[in-house]
Amino acid sequence: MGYVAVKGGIDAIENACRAFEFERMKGSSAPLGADQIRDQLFLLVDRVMSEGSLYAPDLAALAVRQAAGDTLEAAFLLRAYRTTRPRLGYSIPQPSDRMRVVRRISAAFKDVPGGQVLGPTNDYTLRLLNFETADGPRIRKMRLVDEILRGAASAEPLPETFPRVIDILRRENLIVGTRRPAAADAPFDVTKDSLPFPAPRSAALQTLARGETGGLLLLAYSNMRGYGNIHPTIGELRVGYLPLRVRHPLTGEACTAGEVKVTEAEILAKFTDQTDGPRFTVGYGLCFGHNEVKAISMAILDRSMQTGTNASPSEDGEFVLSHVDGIESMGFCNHWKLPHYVDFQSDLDRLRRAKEIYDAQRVDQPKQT
Amino acid sequence: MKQAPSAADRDLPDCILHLPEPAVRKLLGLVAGEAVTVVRGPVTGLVMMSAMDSHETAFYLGEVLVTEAEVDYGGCRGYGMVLGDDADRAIARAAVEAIGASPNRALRERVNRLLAAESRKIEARRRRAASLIAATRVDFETMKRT
Repeated sequence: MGYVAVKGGIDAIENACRAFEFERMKGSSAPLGADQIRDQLFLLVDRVMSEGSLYAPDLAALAVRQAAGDTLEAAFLLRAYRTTRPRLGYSIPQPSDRMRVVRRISAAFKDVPGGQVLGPTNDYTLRLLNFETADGPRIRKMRLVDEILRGAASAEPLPETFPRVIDILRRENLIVGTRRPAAADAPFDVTKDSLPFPAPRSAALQTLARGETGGLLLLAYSNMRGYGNIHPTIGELRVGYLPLRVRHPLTGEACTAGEVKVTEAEILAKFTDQTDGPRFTVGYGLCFGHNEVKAISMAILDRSMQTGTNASPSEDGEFVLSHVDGIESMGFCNHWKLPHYVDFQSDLDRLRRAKEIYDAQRVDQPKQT
Repeated sequence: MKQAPSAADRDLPDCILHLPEPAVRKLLGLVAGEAVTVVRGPVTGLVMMSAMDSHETAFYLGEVLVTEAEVDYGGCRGYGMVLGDDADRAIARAAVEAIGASPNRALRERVNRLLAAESRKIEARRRRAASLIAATRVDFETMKRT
């Protein structure tokens, strides 16, 4: 079926854009600085970077402001921006035990090498609105920061890096390996080629890592509730900074370009005896920024897609990977708002014709008594 | 005989990645009178970040916005890549590398003194933040059944 374009409406469209700006600006509050969004709404910025698949905190903050807080739209702005910049290269993969950790917990073991570190979290707070932290002067903010830092001065320093929790189980041969691509195979890049099915593991992980948090959560939650059979335990959840290492173009040596904040989740799932005796299976999640729900959901879906039964939506790789991208799904949803006048007229014509035939048949049929 | 730089000296230029903006400008001011020429860039572009899962399968996590530049100082080349849209920082990183390889010892020492002082400040800030994280280390106890 072809589409028929419409044209015109330029003035109305321009005024609609101005009306949107007016909605954002009409209140009496001070204009919102992108730096304020970046620093104080950091979880929102992290989510937009992760779903936009572009790590750029300053630009993500700008996008959040421009989109008036709509995360799907902000992520779309980042995806659009990335198409205007050249791809300079690929980084050297870094194992996550090189992460500078700010949070690291395990639900599987109480005592883990290096210890459990709660880090910055509101997991253990009551969900009560705190009216005291409303806007205050800058000096009060600085005093509060000083006070928080002073209170922690005597803590014993953390190790530079932490060993992986699942390595404890791996040493005892209690973990199943995942199919690895041959060493020569470069990872699949879904930004260069269309996603094939069944998807190579690298393509699946990349697609999940850029997926929309709500979409991943929905599918992972369906599995947790029983439309699936994973029964996950969080072996380890980490938040921290991974170095971005690239090949120096003049010396060929690895050099560091900076640090990227990420969240990583490794889940231990129901054991299997399909290969080499009973062992746990592992699901893996990693995404830009601090987004624990997304990383855990990704790990559950990574594991559920390996089930191979397709008995529920979360186990069907094609179903999961085709529906988790926020920009694709919101784009498709939003496109229904665009004029479909000609398609609909065609539907109407067919409906009227069908109704005529239906009515004529009713008239022709003898009445039953 | 030329001595190999110590590990600390080798890593010192990396502190440019974390310098506050005024310190980057100060560093550029230090080399402003020197014959440092930008031979490539600065270009703001994307690096696809590679990552590894639990089983060391490499995959692409997403793209990172970076700026890169290459400079020449008296025949010595230097390269810098930094996060974000940040031409000054990329040029500063490249210039420090080129100066580090040049025979101009006096300039090298001036740059290193500035970087060493800034590096100490960065380290102090990082230690303070790290001690806050360290204070969240938890020791859960399982409750005994009664």
